[in-house]
Amino acid sequence: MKTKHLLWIAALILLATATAASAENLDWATADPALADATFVANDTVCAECHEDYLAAYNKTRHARAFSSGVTGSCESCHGPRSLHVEDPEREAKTWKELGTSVQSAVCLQCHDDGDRMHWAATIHSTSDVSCASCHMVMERGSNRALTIKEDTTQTCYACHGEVRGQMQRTSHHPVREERMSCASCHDLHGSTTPAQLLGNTINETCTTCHAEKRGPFLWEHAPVRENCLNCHEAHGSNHKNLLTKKDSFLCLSCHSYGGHINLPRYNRTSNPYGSGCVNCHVTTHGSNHPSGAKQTR
Amino acid sequence: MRPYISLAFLPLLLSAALLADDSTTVQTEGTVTIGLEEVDVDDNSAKYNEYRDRKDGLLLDLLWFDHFDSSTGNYFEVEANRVGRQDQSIWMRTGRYDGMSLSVDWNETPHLLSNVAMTPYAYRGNGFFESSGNVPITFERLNTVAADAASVRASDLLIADFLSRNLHGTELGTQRNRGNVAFDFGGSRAFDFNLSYTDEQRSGSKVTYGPIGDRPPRTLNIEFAEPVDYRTRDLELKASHGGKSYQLGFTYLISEFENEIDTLTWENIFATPAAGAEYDVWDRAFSAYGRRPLSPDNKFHQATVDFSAGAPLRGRFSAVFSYGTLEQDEKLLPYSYADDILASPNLPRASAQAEMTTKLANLTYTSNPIKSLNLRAFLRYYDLDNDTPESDWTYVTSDTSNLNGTSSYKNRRTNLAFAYDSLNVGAEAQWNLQVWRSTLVGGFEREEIGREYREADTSEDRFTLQWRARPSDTWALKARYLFGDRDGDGYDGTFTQDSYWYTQAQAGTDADNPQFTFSNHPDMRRFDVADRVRNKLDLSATWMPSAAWNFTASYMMRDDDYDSDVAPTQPLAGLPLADAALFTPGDQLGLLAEDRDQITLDGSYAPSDRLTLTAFVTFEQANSEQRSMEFNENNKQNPSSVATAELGPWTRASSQWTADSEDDNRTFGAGMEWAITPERVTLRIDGNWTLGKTDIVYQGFGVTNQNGVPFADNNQYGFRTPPTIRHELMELNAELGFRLWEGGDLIVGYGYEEYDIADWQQEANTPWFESVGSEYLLRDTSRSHQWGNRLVNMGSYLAPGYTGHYGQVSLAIHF
Repeated sequence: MKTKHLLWIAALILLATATAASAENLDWATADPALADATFVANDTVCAECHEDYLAAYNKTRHARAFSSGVTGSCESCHGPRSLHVEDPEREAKTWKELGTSVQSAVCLQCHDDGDRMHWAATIHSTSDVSCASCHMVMERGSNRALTIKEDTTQTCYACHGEVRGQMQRTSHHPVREERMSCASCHDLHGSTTPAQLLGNTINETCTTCHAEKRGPFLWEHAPVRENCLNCHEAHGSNHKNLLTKKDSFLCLSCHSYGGHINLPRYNRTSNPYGSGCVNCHVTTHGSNHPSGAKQTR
Repeated sequence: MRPYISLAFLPLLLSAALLADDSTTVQTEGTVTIGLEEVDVDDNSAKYNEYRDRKDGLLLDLLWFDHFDSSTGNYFEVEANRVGRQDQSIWMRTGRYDGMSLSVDWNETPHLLSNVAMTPYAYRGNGFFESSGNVPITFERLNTVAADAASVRASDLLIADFLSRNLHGTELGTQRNRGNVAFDFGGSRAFDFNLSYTDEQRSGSKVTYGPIGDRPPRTLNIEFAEPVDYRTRDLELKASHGGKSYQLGFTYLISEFENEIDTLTWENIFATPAAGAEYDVWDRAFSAYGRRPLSPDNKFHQATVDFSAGAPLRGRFSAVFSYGTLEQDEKLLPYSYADDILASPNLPRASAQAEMTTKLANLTYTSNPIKSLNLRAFLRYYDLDNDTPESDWTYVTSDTSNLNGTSSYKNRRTNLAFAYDSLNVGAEAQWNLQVWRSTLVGGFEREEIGREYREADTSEDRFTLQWRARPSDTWALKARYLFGDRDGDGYDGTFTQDSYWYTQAQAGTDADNPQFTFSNHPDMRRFDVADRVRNKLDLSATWMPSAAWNFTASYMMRDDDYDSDVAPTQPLAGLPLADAALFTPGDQLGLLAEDRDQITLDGSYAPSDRLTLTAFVTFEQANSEQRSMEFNENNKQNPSSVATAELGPWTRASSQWTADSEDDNRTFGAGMEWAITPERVTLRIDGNWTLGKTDIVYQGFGVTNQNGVPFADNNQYGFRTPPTIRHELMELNAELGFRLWEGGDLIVGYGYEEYDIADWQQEANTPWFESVGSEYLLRDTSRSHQWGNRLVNMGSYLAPGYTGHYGQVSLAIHF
């Protein structure tokens, strides 16, 4: 099977290499035909003459500060060539909202296409009509960090992912509502190519960023654990302790039916109807490093 | 450490004052909030402060400082919260916008587990727990039916008395402190370099268990606090290069985890049986101590190359390649604490020598070939290779062993090097339609996962159809449907045979013999590798009738059916056994189906600049069905010999049981922000109410025996639908702010919380749960008092329900 996989990859790389072409800079004429004949004024003071009302708030943003500190950029970097607008302020052009999400992001990516954002186009956010401006507010500082539209990253994410806010209220939860973690602790919001835009290459690599004690590898692996933490855990919150997807031994019994005590929620030989269920004895469910750890009791 | 961090932070306050400047080129602003907080929580519940540190006293709640000098481009930013507390965070960054930057981040997170936990142990350090005494087993060996109940009860009372004299409080919880220093060279877009170092320490204790004894029912188990002293150090180097038409990145991560405590050793609180007494069939050595290794030190290295470039047809190509290694080579403990009496104490190797490598390739091509069409194609490949040597071990199941030093033939086990690789290939097309500014998306994805030492490789085809629309400026609609068909054909549970290394001759006439019969019941299908048909539907509508209103309603449905067409099989076919022709019932065991429905309503209303109202509601119901069956593992080769017994044959369908779990969650939240007197008096109120319930409807064997005759509550197999598990949390927070002068606010805050919990696994309110003498000794009862693991625990409801009041008075000074 691996050979087949590698062939797939090789074929795609070849295809990509063969078709690689120059990146296209943002084409303002295509983004907004009204700008087709416009040129860059390249003088922000001209903009300030009429748009002073925006500047008090804007000047406190990182963008304004960066542009005033030698970083190349101006109003027209984001708003396009405005010579015609200066000539005739009433002349119609698309508003920022009317540019659409893909153009909005393309505007930002003119400068911010480095780091993980180089993969922005490959992300689920990008292909789901989410733009940089969906989460970030450029013209004023709405938050102390990252220019998010809400006071912090998590509240920004909840603006669209309201169902997660409900899940995070459950008794067993990661400390997100206590603000000790945020969505960005696990999710790479800008450029992950994984299905859920995870920070790590896989679910497990993401989880073991903080839970490194479970990283192993172990002498005795528990295969479903090694493959996917979410086989047993609900990362966004659960009614069961330790973020388990089901009640203690009922979870284990979803897969284990050896006979005797290992196929019943109650059999008096074991203590699994109380405490932590099967884990009362099978303590090392994430993997054992004991030479006698085959059944993960040690 | 915390006082030092807090003290080190004080110079920042000073520097903040010094940096304040009236120069026109300098922007300096900030906020310092200092206050008093007061907390009143009943029942001493750890749940209240589970992940925070609210307590009476003075508090530096917030320091925010922002300094920028446009003449030099230098900036300096600080944000600190709850300074000096166990949940403090301090972040600062300095640099030049057109040059280098340095950031420092310090975060502390408590995880309080209990304020009421009890233990008979004294911790002597380095993972060693010593009991303050021992209690002997005084009852005689019991036969299965003719229980010597009186003697057992007498022994119980002895144990209860021992515990009442020796239990004392123990801390239970951890503290996670994480520091990060990051340096960004910030040269230019053409070349950037970033170096980041993170040091995380976690210390304290968490719940663990110490089983001593070879197997149930001879296990003597105790719940106690496992010491935690972890340290993880990550060093990450990033470099990126941006060309005119491409970006290239390289990342190297070194992550090392170190556990300062390698081994857990705990004293057996049960002493050697009294003269003339026996605990069960006690032909094992009676170990004075139990011992097991704790999480081993490990290393993770990973190199990643990122590439992105423009591609034809107004496209973009993205690629991520990654290679990683995981290593763990902790020295192994002996087979048993009582290793000196084992017949074969030699290990195949002295250390774990565990090693894995990971490879990843994620490739994505997106394109916009014509105005109304977007295309996306992707390939994701991940490979986890396990290079850990496979060896033949003797599984001495606990820190006791047979007096003759041998162990069961079944306990000759081989560690299997589980590995897997996955390939996802897919494409989707988006058509932008003129109708309602809508987008129609169709996609297909194929997933193939190959596994070593698992029951099945799986392949899944997923089809998605999505429609997004903006019919007007006030409405946004979205609908997405996914159909997935996963194939776990070829499911073969006999791979576990590879994990045994005994011969048929060594098994002799024993009828368990998992290597040459089966391990799991042949009708079991493990859900993560079983067939699965998935239907998933997401609907959402957003309505924004004006700038003041924003309302979103969404619905999510997920339905997973794990029906794998299980049919009766003959697991003994071909073996020279009398029962070789017998069939399994052919009813699938394991998780059968799961479904989940969720409705979320979210809205906000801002009738004026002075007032904003928000509210959200989430309803979720998740159901799952599972089936299993009771059978006697000691009669795998000869099930007919237990055809009429309660602990019966694997052929008997009437020994099956089912459990339907229903998780019902409801959350309601509302908030208000009101400038009562603009710029003078503000009021913020928010509240949440959350109810989580779990019902498990249990039917079949356990409620009745195989003939439909109800079991008594205290029968060793007796089980029935347990009480509802219930968690309810109510929170209400209010904050009133008064502007005292231009740069100063007085803030008065109050918070109310009420948490209720009911969980049948944490209290003695079920027929199968008995407290003996004190709540700390728990044991089953049934027709014989012989059976039942002894689990001395740390108490019921380690984090019980509570009612909590919180008050804060603060002064916020803005500059």
